[in-house]
Amino acid sequence: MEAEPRDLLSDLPDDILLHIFSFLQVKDILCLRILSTRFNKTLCTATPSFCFSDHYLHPHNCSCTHIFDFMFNTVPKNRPHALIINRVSFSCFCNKPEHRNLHKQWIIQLFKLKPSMFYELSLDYDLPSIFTSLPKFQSLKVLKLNMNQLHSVNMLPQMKLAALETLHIKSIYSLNGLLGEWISQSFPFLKHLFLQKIIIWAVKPDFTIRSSSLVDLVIHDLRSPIPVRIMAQNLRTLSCFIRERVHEYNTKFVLESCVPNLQSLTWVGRRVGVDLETLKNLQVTTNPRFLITRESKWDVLIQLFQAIRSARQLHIDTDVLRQWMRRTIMGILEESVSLKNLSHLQIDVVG
Amino acid sequence: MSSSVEAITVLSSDGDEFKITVSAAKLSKPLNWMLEDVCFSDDCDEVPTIEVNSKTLVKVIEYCEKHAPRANSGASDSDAEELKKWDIEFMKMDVKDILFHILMAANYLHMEGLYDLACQTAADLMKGMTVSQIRKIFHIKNDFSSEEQEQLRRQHPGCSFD
Repeated sequence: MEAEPRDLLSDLPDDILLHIFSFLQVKDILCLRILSTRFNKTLCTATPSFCFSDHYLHPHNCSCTHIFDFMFNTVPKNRPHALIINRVSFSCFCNKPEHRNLHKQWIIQLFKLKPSMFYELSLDYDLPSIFTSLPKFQSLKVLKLNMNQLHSVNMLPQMKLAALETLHIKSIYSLNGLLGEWISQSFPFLKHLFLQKIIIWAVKPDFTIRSSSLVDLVIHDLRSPIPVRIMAQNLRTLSCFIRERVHEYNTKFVLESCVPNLQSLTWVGRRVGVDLETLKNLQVTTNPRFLITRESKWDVLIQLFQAIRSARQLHIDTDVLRQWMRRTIMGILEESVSLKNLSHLQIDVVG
Repeated sequence: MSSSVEAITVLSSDGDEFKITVSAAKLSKPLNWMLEDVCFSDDCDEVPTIEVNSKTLVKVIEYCEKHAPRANSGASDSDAEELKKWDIEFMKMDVKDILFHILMAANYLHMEGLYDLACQTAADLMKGMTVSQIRKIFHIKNDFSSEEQEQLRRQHPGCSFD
């Protein structure tokens, strides 16, 4: 059984190690730092993060006291570069009534505790009031907020986080439609924006994201009755995953000349809902598997895709097939969008 | 476009052939994608290779076959209880080195259930242990200098060493 005493645990990549740690209690995680430089590094330097998960935060095994101890004694002494609060919400935190209030206090305390020392904050927590605390997190580079359930939130109109480069927002109801303006004005150096499960309530003629720093934008299930206008001079990649069967919201995206540097567009959804009237340079990455419809052209495309796969396996040259495929995709694109001014089009097929 | 076959054949990284039922293969995202593509249609006789060694693949397939019926149909609570017990037994049989191969394989094959189970098992081995016990269990070499070690000890007074 025992072949050689090889240290396989230390060979694991950081993300697997961190996932293992997420099943441990805070006090156990902290002790792991003393094991070896590899562990000290994973926990403090390379991926400096602390993960809390709800696995041990249930009523039978409440570790609220450890978390308090961690927050008020360990964190100020050790100064983590990142704090990842993972999968914690009131419903699964701890059911002891006397602890419930403490949780709220704990979160509030967390924001009081010099939040300027965090570079990354992931909050998977029903805490809409986080938005009012955000201006304190001036050192944040990465901010990931998942409200778990749809929440209408109050955005502070005049806040600024100058260091922020990556923003993920999930499950938000923008009742006053201010989300676009908030993103446009609050993060002057934002590079990566990820929006998921966002519902816009219409009060304005359009929902605009305006940013000169934005490089890539991923939109996953955004429902808006008004056109979504993206004005980003430096945007390189845009990926839209639009859910089907949402008839009441036929979200339309207006890009026009606002994204002169767009190089890659990934569109997953039945109809390409992008207006590309003046776009000059476009590289479409499409995965036909996601685009299956009853329309015959797509069937042709799928057959072509399969033919390429088979040909590749038999080591047959696929150039002719690929050209065919591009032409078919072109045909589909031309039907759905107007590409009058397009001078250069490159289509890559992934899968 | 998946074909009507009920089981597929895959190769391990050691080159051995393994059969896995379609419903079990669906637990893995990459395998599921392969199924949707043409990899397993009748006119294609190339067997795809999975970068997992034979010893590990046997375990992974065993897990898939056990969990497939529930994942595909949804089962009663009593079944879920039984499955949980089975999971615990399943992980018990593992010597430590195969556990890490299973971790890597579950991560590589995008099998959430198995990945969580394996991570949980690894975490359970560390829980409540002293630093030197963990080092012994996982063969972790202490590569700190004595000053660093001393400093870390001072920073973490709550940790037990021996």
